[in-house]
Amino acid sequence: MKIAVQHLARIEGHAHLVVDTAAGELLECRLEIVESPRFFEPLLQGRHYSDVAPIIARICGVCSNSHTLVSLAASEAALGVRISTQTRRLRKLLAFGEILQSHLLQLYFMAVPDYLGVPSIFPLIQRQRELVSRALRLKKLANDICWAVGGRPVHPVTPCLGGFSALPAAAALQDLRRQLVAALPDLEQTVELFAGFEIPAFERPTEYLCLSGEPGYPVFGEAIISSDGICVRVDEYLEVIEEYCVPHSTAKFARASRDSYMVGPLARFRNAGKSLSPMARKVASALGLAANTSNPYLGLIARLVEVVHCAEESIHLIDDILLDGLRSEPLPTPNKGGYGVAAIEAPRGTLFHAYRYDANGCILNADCIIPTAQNLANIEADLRQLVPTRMHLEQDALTRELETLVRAYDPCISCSTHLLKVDFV
Amino acid sequence: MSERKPLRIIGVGNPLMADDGLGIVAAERLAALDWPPGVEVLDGGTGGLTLLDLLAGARAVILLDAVAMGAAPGTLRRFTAEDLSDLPAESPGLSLHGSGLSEVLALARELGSLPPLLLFGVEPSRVEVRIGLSPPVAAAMDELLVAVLAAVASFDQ
Repeated sequence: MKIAVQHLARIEGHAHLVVDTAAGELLECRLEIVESPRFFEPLLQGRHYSDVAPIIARICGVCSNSHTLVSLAASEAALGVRISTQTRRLRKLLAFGEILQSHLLQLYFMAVPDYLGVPSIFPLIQRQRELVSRALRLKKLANDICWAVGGRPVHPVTPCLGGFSALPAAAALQDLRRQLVAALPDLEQTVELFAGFEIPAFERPTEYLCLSGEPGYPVFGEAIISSDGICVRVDEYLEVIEEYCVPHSTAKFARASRDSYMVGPLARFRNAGKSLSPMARKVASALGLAANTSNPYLGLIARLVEVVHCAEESIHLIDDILLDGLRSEPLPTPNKGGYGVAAIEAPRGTLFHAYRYDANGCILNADCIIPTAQNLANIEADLRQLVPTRMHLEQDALTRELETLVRAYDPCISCSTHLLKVDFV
Repeated sequence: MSERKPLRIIGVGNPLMADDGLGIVAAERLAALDWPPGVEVLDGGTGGLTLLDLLAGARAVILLDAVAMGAAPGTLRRFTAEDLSDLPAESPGLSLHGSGLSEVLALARELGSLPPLLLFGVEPSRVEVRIGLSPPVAAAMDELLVAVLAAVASFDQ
């Protein structure tokens, strides 16, 4: 039996899925990444630090806030800039806004059709109008968070080196808080919807990697940790993560302690589930998401748990920000060079940026490691183990199950092919 | 204060991909003009479905984008919502930056939230990793801005 899915639907970007079996044996299993790589790093070469984040913000429309925030943090680490508590809180709120945007899009528009047996969200517009309206309401709230804090729904403009060029109005934050509280019934309905889905049974333990070092569930963090015992500083990332090329992919693959590892919602949940918000912990337990699960399909449920966490934590963050009062802060203008590394938990997993600046504050070289690139080897390893256990299925059913597995990782191919490591020197 | 929904002029595309960013360049220039209340100029970037919210909240929308039409680089063409309704989702012919514009329009139409809409498309010359427009597309910017100004006036008549 040969399965060849050209342009796998409902993922961000283009990938083919190729599986070949004969006489009950798996001959071949590949996730082919076929987008032509786009080398964006040369655009950064020679750029002054004030121009770097606006360029990074345009790399992708899906994770533009995470890229911008980690880019700023890497520049700040390189140039010796410290940020205030207010800046840290606003950046975290922006990161939550983007995780909500991205996760809700994946859950409702990409995953729900798999579990309701329809090819896309379109048939549901007539048949399940309330479900679609709820998805759009929640998505709009996430956009509004990014718009209020970042100045745009995508490609943020207000975050800058050392802080924000413009602060959200207190009234805008109060309005977001009201909207977040009003969204709780929609979140409950979402949990009920997903509670009814039958998640395929499949276990394959792997290495789970995420950030650590800040109190609470990880967003920013000074350390990389993994379930195989990795615990290093973020600026030592090259010592634990090895990127490598494979012939069938224009995106790089990555490994750490073993042949593959996982980043993203399930990895974060495995490593830091105890730090989730109270409501998110309840939802995880109600949906049967166990702390030691090794079923990659449950990445979907971990994503939903994170939606609840981000919504609840955003309310508390807004309260903290408003309680202290928003005040405009002077922005630094460093006059030096240096090397800096930063990482953020983007919606799909840990995202690394590293920059070296010359003495005039202009970029000498840049390196980025993208979540999806880190997950690709793990997805293929899952597929290789899954296929032999599903040989009894008809081809269509097997194809659906494989596609659903790939989508559980919410791969974003565009960005993985955009950012390959290039040294300019 | 008027409760009227805004007329939105939305540039889309990626300014890191040369002419693919022409809608963003045009939106930047338009944003610098003095507009009457009720007209907004927005940078839609490559936000994909995010565009749906921008459409839903508007009384009318003017989109600015690079469109591969097989014409000479810099050629300007005006599309109505009806012109665009025949395009299949993810049509390779329409938008070059993969923001799923045709899917977003189809979704808005199906939801009944598609406002009166015009798309001004300019034929790109080069779409590659590079900041800045090609000469023929840069030369077409004035014509595009004039066309947008006329369209805004016609919507509000």
